[in-house]
Amino acid sequence: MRATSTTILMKTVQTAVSACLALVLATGGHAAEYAISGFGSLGGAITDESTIYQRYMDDSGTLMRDSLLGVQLDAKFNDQWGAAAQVLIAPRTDEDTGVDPQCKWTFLSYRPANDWLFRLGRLSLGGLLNQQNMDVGVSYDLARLPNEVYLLSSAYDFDGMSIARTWNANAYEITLEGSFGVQDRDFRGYKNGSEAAIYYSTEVTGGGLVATISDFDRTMVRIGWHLTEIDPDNANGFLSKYNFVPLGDGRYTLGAPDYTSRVRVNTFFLGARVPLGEFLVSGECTAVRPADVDPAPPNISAYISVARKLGNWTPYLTHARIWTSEMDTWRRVRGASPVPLFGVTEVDIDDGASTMAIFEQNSSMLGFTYTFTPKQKLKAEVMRTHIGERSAMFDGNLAHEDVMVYSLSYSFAF
Amino acid sequence: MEQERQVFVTFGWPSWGRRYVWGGGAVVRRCWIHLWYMLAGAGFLVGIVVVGLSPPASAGVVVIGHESLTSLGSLDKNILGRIYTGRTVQVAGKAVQPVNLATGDAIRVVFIRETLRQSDDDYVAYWIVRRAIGKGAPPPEVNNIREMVEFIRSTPGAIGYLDASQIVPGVKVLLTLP
Repeated sequence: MRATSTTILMKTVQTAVSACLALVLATGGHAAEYAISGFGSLGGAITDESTIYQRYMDDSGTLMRDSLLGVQLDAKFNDQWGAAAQVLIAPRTDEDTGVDPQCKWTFLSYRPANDWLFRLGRLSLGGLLNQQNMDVGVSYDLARLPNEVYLLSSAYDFDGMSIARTWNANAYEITLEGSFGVQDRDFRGYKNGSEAAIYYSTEVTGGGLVATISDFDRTMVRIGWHLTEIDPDNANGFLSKYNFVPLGDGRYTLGAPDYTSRVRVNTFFLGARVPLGEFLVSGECTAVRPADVDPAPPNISAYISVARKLGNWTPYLTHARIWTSEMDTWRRVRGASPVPLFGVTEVDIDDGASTMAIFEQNSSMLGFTYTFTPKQKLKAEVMRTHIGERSAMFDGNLAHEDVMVYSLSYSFAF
Repeated sequence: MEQERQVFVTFGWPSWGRRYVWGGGAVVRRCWIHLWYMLAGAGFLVGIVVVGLSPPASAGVVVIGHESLTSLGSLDKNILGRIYTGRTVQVAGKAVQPVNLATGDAIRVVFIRETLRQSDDDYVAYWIVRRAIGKGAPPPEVNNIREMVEFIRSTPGAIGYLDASQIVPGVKVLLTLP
């Protein structure tokens, strides 16, 4: 039986606390140093479209998409051993309503020398430039990290370990980080025919390698690869292949699909953030390659962002894009004919097509950040999202339309 | 006999040819006011006040450390930058513990600029990110030079900084920054 997320959370916290206590005893009673910090964002967003976008945003406005509160405890037991725990109060990840506390970081760290860092516990495996700090709004200037690329970012909070090796040069450093872990995760889909969101409970095992080159300033180049294996909790497993039953005259309907017990996904990352004169240019791209599952065909995403700091103001312009490389199966599912006699209704077909992870959209964002202090930022953004044939980020069948999103948020740290 | 009371105000550079009558030509007493001179005088006064409130001219920032740090070898700006950004925790096999003055302190601003070529704000922002990605907390902060010296004297491996004019016994001078 699947452990609930609360149980996992408790186990992780208990393990970390036990290990911390053991370390405190092992250090001979030397007092550990503690530091508490916090961060948060209060953000509102409203669109000009009644269809819900990114779980929460529609034309009635929401605070749920961009608001959260986090607290972090950093502990240093001695020169080599330390620990950190980060708890977020944020929208739930297993249903669309409500907020709950979520454990993001809870790990022990061991740093025997400058060049090595070992971490054990709940970790966010880095791949994207801002993946590990995406919840800390003051740490970047965009009002919202482009969802085309950061859509998959939350899939990498694992209970496991990471090993990082750093090579220092005068002006920059190179870090190679390998990680491995498991997580319980709920993948969201939206059944358009039934008009309901569904969450697939899974156990995800994954790991990867990420190489980062950075200087003391803002330059960073990152390349990475993650391999994850998704094991669904339900007895049938994941739907892996749609089958079609010919009806004659070119018509067909849905047959009994095939299922698989696990899905393997390769994800590739490439990103860079480089100052160019007075401008800061950031760009990332990802390629997500699930192996042979019709509901989640491979996709590629990318964005580029240009920002310029003008005193306390930082205006920016961003363009992001995501596209699914194989949409034929989705088109076939949509084109199926309902045959109630076979148990295939219009709702079934609509549900089947809409729960497929098909993305064809691009977004342009124009916004600014006003920095009161490094720990307080006000952000405003206008985003125009153009939907192509289909985008599963919308809870509905929008196609070939533009949606405007207006966002205002205040981020802080203490 | 009625006295002339007329107010003239000049704008721009003082020039006899650029006078404008203010007050509708009311003439009781002739009074020349050179606005430019007034502004220059005000600026001079403000300058005196600002200079008077500023800290004494710095003789440079000196990097100091606990007396146990006798065999550090060469400590340069690059290594200091790594220490203060959490990238280096040991120098010559010895654990080091950096300590900072509070955000905005004039000596801290100079130290960060000289070692990291960053503003204090950028440095604070750097640590917000580094902490958020689970790579440690920023160096502890003290409120003044007295606390800085106490911390360094009592903490093996501690490294800090102060103005060159404030060097006290009981700490080791590791580097002088211009």
